[in-house]
Amino acid sequence: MAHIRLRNVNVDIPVYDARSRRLISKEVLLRRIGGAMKVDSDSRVVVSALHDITLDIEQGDRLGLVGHNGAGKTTLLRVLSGIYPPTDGTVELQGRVALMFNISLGMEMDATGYENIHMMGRLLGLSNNEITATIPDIEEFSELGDYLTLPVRTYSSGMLMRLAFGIATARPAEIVLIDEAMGAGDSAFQKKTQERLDRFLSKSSIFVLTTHSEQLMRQFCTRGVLMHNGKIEMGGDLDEVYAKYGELLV
Amino acid sequence: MQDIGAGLRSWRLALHWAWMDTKLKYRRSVIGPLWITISVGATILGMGIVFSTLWGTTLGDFLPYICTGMITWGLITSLINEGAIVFINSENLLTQINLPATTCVLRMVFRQFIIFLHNILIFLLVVVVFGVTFSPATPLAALGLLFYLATGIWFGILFGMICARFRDVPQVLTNLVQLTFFITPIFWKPEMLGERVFITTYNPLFHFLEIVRQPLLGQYPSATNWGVVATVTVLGAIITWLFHRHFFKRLKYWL
Repeated sequence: MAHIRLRNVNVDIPVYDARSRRLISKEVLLRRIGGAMKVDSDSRVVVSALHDITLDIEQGDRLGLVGHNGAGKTTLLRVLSGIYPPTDGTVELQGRVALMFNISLGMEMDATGYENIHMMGRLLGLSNNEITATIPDIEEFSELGDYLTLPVRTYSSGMLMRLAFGIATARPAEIVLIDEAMGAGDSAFQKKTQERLDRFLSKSSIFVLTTHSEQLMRQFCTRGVLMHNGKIEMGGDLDEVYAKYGELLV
Repeated sequence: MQDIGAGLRSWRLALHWAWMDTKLKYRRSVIGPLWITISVGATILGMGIVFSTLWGTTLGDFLPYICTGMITWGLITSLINEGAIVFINSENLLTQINLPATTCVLRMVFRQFIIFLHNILIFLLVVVVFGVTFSPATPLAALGLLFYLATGIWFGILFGMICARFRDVPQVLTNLVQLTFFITPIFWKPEMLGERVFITTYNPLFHFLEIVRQPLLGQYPSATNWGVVATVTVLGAIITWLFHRHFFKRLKYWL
């Protein structure tokens, strides 16, 4: 059974900029957004991006991360994906993960559409045969036709996104993590893309989304977690989460 | 350790990636990656003419020596310089895709070997024109390259991490490598140093150079050459393993 379990997870990001100590003014320490800054034992500036996060995500969960800029949503998503090892605490992850943060990352502008399908497919861990098998599906979805034999740099941004999105959703995954800034822009929520996304998500058993759009959140998620200053403020029903979020904004 | 294992297992991805990198860099040029060969070839020819005159020897005598020296040195220095910045350059991938960091190192190392294979063409040309004698020692070059492969990988992991944390180290390394070019016998021969031959003896890069250059010239590298290289490779791998175990968790936060 796919699941992700976080226990008392902390993420401290050290700032190594030589002049960083000057940043620690009262003003910054009292700021309401962003993770708390502190000075560690080596008198280095450290941003506490996540603080004491305990969270269970189980089979069937459709979880939305709510919070203002700098609340720690993206960092949490990176911890959930295994990209960021936590400074303290444990992450237990079971299941194959698909990340949709910046889906065109890894694409080569001078390579053709087909070459990029091969390259990105390998990056996603697909075998040669699996890649060949997904090509008709990607061709059909992207509607790029002969453009797939041309370098990607000749594509419009919409075309590029259709290709990237087609590749990213080519193989179902048990756990899907989506950052609103996945780079798909408006195109992500056009009808055809949305149908494909729905199909992709219906095959997953866990789904975590961050977005500032309440509408999308309500459409895709059944449960919410409110993040604030790197901590979990509350978790539960989306209505309650948004009510509390509204209070925080005032 | 998990990362190194997963990275090494992904060698097919890394090789494909390195090949794409090389291909794409020259995609719009007519003769493509052969430009690497031509530019290195021109340097070798120029230096060969000047230094064979300076040292009072013939071009036929000197060109095979400087040719093998230059292309081997080119591989060594690019493994050092690129190894230093391997994680810095892959920041976006490492913080946004769940990719073993070691895959990025393999990609970089394979890319340098692909370039080296292009430069081998120059050597083959020199072989045809000036006639270099092959001997049973020649295949030892492959063993030498295996040591480069192993060292390239641990060096990239170790210094890639150190340089991600301390951003001045890549500059220091680049300058050191530049300096070492002159104190390593590439365009001159060790025996020219006379009693100051210790300058080469204590230079590990000299020993690395010899284990590939000498076989290419049909000669056997000395036991000292092999000994130093094997020691550096094993010690380096152990240090990398210890360093990796303690600090790998922090790599992503250093980027």
